[in-house]
Amino acid sequence: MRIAGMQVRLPPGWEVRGRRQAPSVANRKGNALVHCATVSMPAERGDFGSGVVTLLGPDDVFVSLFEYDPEARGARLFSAVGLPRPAPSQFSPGALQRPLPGQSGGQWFFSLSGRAFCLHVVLGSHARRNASCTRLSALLDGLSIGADA
Amino acid sequence: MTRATAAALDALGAREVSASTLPDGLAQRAVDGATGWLSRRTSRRGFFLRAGVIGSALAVDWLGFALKPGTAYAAVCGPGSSCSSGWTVFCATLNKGANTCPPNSIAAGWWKSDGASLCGGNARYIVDCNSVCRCTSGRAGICSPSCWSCSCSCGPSWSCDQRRVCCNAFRYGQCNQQVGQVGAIVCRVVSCTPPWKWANCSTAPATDNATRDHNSDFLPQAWTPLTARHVALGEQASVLGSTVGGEFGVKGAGRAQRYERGRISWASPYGAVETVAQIANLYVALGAEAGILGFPMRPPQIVGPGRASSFERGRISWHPTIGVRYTEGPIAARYRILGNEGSLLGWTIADPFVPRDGRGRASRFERGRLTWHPDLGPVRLLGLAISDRYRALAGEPGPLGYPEEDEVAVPGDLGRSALFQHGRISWSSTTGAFEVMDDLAVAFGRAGNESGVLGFPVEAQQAVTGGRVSRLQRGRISWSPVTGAHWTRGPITDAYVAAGAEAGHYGFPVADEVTVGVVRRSDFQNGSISYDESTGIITTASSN
Repeated sequence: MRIAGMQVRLPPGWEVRGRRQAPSVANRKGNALVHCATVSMPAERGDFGSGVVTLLGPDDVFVSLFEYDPEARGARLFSAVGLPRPAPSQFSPGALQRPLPGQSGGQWFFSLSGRAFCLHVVLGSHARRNASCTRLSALLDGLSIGADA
Repeated sequence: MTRATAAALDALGAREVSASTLPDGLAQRAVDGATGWLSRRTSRRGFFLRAGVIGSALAVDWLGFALKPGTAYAAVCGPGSSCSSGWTVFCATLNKGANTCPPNSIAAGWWKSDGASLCGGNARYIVDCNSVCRCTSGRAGICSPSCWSCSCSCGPSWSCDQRRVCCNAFRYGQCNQQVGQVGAIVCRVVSCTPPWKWANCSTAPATDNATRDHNSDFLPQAWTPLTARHVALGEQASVLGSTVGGEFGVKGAGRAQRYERGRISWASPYGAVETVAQIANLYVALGAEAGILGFPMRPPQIVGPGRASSFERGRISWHPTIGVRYTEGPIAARYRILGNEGSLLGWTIADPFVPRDGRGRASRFERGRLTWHPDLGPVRLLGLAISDRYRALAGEPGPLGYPEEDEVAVPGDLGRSALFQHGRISWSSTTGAFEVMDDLAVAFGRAGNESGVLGFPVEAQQAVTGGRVSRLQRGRISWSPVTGAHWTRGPITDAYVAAGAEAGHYGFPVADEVTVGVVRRSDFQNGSISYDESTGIITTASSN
């Protein structure tokens, strides 16, 4: 799937949905938003996963790739460069917009191809984060981010 | 979706695209199954399901909603208000009602819920206030818990908003991006105004409609005229700042809402009207809507370097050097007719003064005074010079009493004068302002007052041995309890004063001057003094 300069090659057992956000102000290009999950995602979803995360089983994973305004590129929050590769040790049950029992999450802010992003990952089970990270890595292997045409 | 809208979204790239490598239909069946079970379980809520309202309730607390129908709708604090729900508390709940980030926290990101009834059907914005980090550790975004400036807890016992405080290590990321790390979310601020208009946030939109009806008992509970007015003014970016607490009823059918720097009051004749800053502080000190001023009638006006607000029964003005002052009742009504701050009186410089009898009122202005007593008819106006002299004489409780008419010009444009219960103050540019009181004022009137033969008083009325005296431009009025008050003038007065005046040989005058032909004569207790206008000769006679 291609959208807004990004390409996702899905490994088996994933669903991806992507769109360009309606911009908040006129005369701007909408930022990209990509959701990937190992469950089928409902049409009504929060950008960081509400509506989906309650559907995750222990082995499921939800990923949100959220793009910020172009001005964010030089900001300190986005000083990390390149697509992150989350490790199991970086996940925490408290690192969620809305912690749910058993789940785990993490956020990675980064810049790539002149664009600023947050990669937010929710694991269905903190206890099974090693296996879930393997599934996540397979997804990220197939993700590439280029300049927004 | 209409064809035109679809085309527009395609052009934006806003239409969602998707792909799937999920086992065919497996997960979707699970979702559909759950939804179907819930639909059957909550069939009496079918209307809400169709309306989409249930979506947020299901997303937030689907099990609780399914097993305890009503929970998601009944609470003032909205769905997911328990600590175990996982959501974060509202700042207003923690902050004595103030809808602002508390100390040691900063705005770190925001999202919106579209179609929010609490924002009149428009987007409702929620800004996370994350704790500042006391140290730096880990990667960009969130510092480690040991660096947070707060610790995880549940909402306070005094509120139905029991959501979590400083527990969730999450950052939406659109605000204060120059700050590399923040701690957990302390609390959430709400607004119907986009955060980039009032906080250091970017416009990158994030949406989560599941939180649309989250609320606190310390926040407005509905979209009302007061909320609409606050939003129209710019909400957090407005002169009022953020809400402090929720809307409340006042004085009959009125409503009011407090803000960081003011108040909005609503009453049906006037709508929602704000009072701001120092004016609002004084308004509240005077009892606000239930006080002497009543409801505000119009938004604050900018008047020269200051501001003013009009109320049902008065006005409050603020001037950078004068400060905040008010007028009320009949005086405020007269002041308004005169033109308020732009009138000849200028700005109010003192709050209303209540004379000793407790019934009258007086207000001082830059260039005059308004004074009123219920027994003496309308409000009376005094200009600056006369009101200054009146004030020096103790004003309404003083020997002159209340004014009985507005200050007037002396015929011939010679000066100004004002009539009081017990006398008169006269002003001219050459003499200044001085009083003539009691019986002396009656004698002054017999002489034609300021435009008569005596002219204007040139000094304060004085006590002398055995009586009182007023000196005027062309004469003198003397009073004793035995003789009453009588006037002398010109060369006769000069001779009288040369002879020691009231304390001299002649004593007090016993009659006003009389003229026979060309001879003017004044009779005194102990003699008389005559003046021949044709010769200029003074003749004196003693009676003992």
